[in-house]
Amino acid sequence: MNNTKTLDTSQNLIKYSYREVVAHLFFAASIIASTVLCFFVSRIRVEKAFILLLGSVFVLFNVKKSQKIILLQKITLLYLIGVLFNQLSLQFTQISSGRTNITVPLSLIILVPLAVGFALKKINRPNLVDTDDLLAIWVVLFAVIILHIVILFLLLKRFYGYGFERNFAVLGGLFLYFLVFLFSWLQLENACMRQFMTLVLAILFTALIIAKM
Amino acid sequence: MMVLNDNIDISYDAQKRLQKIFLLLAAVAVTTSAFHFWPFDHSKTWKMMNLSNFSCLLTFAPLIFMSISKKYRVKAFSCLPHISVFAYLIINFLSISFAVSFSRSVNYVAKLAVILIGGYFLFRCAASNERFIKIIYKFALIAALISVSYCLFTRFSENRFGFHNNYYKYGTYIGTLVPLCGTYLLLSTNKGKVLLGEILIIAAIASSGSLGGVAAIFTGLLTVVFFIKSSSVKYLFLVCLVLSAPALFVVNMVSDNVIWNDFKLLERDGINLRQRYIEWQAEINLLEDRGITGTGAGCVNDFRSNFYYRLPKLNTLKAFDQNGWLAVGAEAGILGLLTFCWIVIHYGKVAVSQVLNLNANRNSIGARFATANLAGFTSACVANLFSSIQYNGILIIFVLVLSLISATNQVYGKVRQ
Repeated sequence: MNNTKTLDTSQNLIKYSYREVVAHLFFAASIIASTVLCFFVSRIRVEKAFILLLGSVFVLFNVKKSQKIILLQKITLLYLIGVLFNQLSLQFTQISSGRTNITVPLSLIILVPLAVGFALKKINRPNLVDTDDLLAIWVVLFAVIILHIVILFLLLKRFYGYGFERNFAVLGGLFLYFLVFLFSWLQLENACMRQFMTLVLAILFTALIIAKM
Repeated sequence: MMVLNDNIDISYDAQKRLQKIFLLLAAVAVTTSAFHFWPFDHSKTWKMMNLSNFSCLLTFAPLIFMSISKKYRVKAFSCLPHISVFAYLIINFLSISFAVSFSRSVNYVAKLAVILIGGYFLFRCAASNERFIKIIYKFALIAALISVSYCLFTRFSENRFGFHNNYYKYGTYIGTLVPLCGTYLLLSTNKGKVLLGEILIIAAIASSGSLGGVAAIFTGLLTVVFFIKSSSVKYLFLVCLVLSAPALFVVNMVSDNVIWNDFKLLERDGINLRQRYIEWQAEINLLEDRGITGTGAGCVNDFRSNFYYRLPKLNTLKAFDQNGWLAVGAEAGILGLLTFCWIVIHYGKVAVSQVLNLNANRNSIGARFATANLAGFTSACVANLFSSIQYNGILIIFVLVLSLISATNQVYGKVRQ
């Protein structure tokens, strides 16, 4: 009740929408930056970019009634955003401050504005995701991978050349993609934001197709 | 009770005719899955368009017609799989963009779509009431009997592995199908059917040449023991498990210790590990590099060897089968595995709720279906560890289990989640 009352005041409403806009701006800036970076420093070869373009065309359709199709669009867009992060993961840049040079992963730099956008959005929206099932599925996914890693560690620890330290990198990657999901999912609820992001990605995929010709 | 009656005004004759067509196609799809790719094992066209897959493909004609028609649209949509299946297909489709072999990847996704959507729709439409669910169980039983008896026959008469020509594929096939049909028979009140169920399970374990097959059947039966309340039924299942052990031992002796070799972690030289676990590790290593993109649907073999990193000197490693869970992650990326987990969680929750609800309501035939479905479902999840339930010719059985779970839910009242 208290929350409703406070939101009703016009000042708070302005604050609310202001935060919402800034959150979207951070999100958009992050995606645009990663799209531009991806065009120049792609790590994994995109064999058939037109498939990704088809995916973005699917998201561009403005569906209002069917929640199921909207959910599928969100998952498709999440995949496309995930691809950007995959291309930038394991790529590093150096930040120098005075005498010290710090090597930072590119994906982490892109993740920061995404996290800020999420934090601003989170203040307005108490729920992390629209359904608890989604978080449960992530838990199951982590459980599947971690159980396999543990069992394989027990079986392979004496195996010649087995490097268990690789598993930490895998788990790190998994956690990165979970954060990408967490920070992006709420933002993708907004239809305009979805379409704008998809348009940016569609331009990238078109550019990739043209560059390959 | 018929699903076709729901909200739709269709003439009774047309409804009956349509139902018969679906049932006929479902019978062909299930029964012919027992023959795998026989008799044209080497034909690529036949592998794509065998009777089982063809029946699923044919189903797209009524599906498209019903989706377009306003009259049938509700019915058509009610028989489609859960949204998680579509999400899984979309991720697989998008992963094609990273596949080195475009045609192989497209073929793989096309097969997935045909069976996951067409097959599911076919079974769901066919199993529209209690009587038809029973009929589908009977066809599944016929398929199980054909595959197990043929496998036993070839192994004892010609000393070779006949059906599916592959221990792992066969293990996954019967590992899913036998707990489904065996549980259905063992829960019957007819003593003849119970005896047939016991024989089927023991014969399946005896014929199985892989750890995955045995583990899947045992898990399916133990799930029933865990969920069923009646102590006499529990006793029946435990007797079945106990009787399977000597059968397994005898067949293992006769057939060159094939199961024991699979249980062991070492190669015959006693130094190297079985390649199974190195393959698993390679599929995990792959996630570090291609976490989201994957290798492209159906193309894990193009990349997997790059991720072994190091192999033992003079290794005696032989080609080994995949882990279905990790293979999905390696091929379609983390989001592919995520959507696959979503499918498993959704149908798993429905299956468990059904067993609990129908057992509590003492609905004997409903509880029998629900328990058998759950046994088949858990077995499929375990079989997927040692091989892949997504292989062509095996996926249809997994889809059958999913659609039976959904059909039972429809016929006996939707379980609230």
